[in-house]
Amino acid sequence: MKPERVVEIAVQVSMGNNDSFAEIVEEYQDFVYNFSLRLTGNREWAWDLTSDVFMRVLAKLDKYSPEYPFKSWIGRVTYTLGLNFIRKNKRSVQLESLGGEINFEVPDKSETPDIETDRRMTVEQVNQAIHELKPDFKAIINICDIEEMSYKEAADILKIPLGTVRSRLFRARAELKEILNGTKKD
Amino acid sequence: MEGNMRQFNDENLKNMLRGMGAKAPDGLKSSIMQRVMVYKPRRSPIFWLMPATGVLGLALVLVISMGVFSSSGSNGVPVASNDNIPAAEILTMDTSGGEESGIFAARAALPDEEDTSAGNGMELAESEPSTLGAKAVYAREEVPIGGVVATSPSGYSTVNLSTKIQNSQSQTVMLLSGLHDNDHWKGILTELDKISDPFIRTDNYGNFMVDVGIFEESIEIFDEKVSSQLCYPEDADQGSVLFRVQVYK
Repeated sequence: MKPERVVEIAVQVSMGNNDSFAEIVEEYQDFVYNFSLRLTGNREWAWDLTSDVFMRVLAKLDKYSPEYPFKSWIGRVTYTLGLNFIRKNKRSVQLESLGGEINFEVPDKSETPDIETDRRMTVEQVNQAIHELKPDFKAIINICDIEEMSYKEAADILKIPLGTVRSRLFRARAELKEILNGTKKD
Repeated sequence: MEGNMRQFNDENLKNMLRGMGAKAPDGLKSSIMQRVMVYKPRRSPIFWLMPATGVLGLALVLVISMGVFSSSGSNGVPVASNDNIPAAEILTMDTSGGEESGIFAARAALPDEEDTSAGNGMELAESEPSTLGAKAVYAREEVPIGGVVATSPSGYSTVNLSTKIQNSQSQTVMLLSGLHDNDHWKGILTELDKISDPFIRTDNYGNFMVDVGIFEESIEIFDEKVSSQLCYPEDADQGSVLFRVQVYK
């Protein structure tokens, strides 16, 4: 969504036309929900967090500056609220299987059902491995590798320098591989 | 992971991650919109007082407030002059390697954030001290790096922060640590090369006070608590945060 359009919606919201906000929800609900799901590892919490993020965005929409990409801005809100959420709930966070709602590429038609099953299992393992990462590693993996956003966007969302984006992503991938390959030292 | 015969490398891991994004479940949008439709923006009390007090009255209050806070911190401790603090220099510290490795690296960011030379990135975090370059510091995990330091809200020892030193935005930051002596703190801060000796002061209790500016975004994550004071040691039940930061505005 172009920043100018966001500003138009902000004006409408300021005039009491909250209905216009639906366009933003429609456009970014997948992004926010997926990010929330990665951070919390729990569907119910991801639902709640997503809802809270959009309410915060609604409340702060007049603060949005069109010089920044809106996706980065809303990503920043998600990350900020997500970290607070984790902090408040960290003792009760439970790992939940995410396998049922993740997407993956359509398998090659030549693949047998066994191969497809193996792919599903692998995806499930990757999901669980991501969940074992600490929050800033989850976030960087989600932004750069799952959402395939740029380093610059990651830097904007996480409020870290580009150099730190690179180093953090490197370490996050390395740890993810260690978990998946069973070589991680406790 | 048990039973996983597949070995992951950079390539197949990236391929696997690509496209793993979850879709928002059905009903989420309508649920959000239900909340949106009943939302009414909250007005600050000052909004309602404005017509009564008038702009002039508000301006008067602001002028008085600025006078008060520019001459002393909220705890009554005088704020030192910072006329000599270099403007627009930025310190950026990344301690995210600390928890695992027991060490962390700090770097002073160059004005050009695109810079990828030694001084940035993972090469620093896990390499030998000799490769760190002049701007970086190695220290034990439990040693907090000076400047503005805070516990990450997730409770990990990972801390990313930015400190902007500007005359016009200076604030007083008190670093409280009973665990390290003055020379230690001074060494770290001096190494970082942006906060020079005259601005490192100790109070009667041996606490360090450094005049720096706060890069607002760096504390945005603490929005629940950032008001006139930032104080986070009690939340640090993981990692080794052994200090307290108070920001006096």
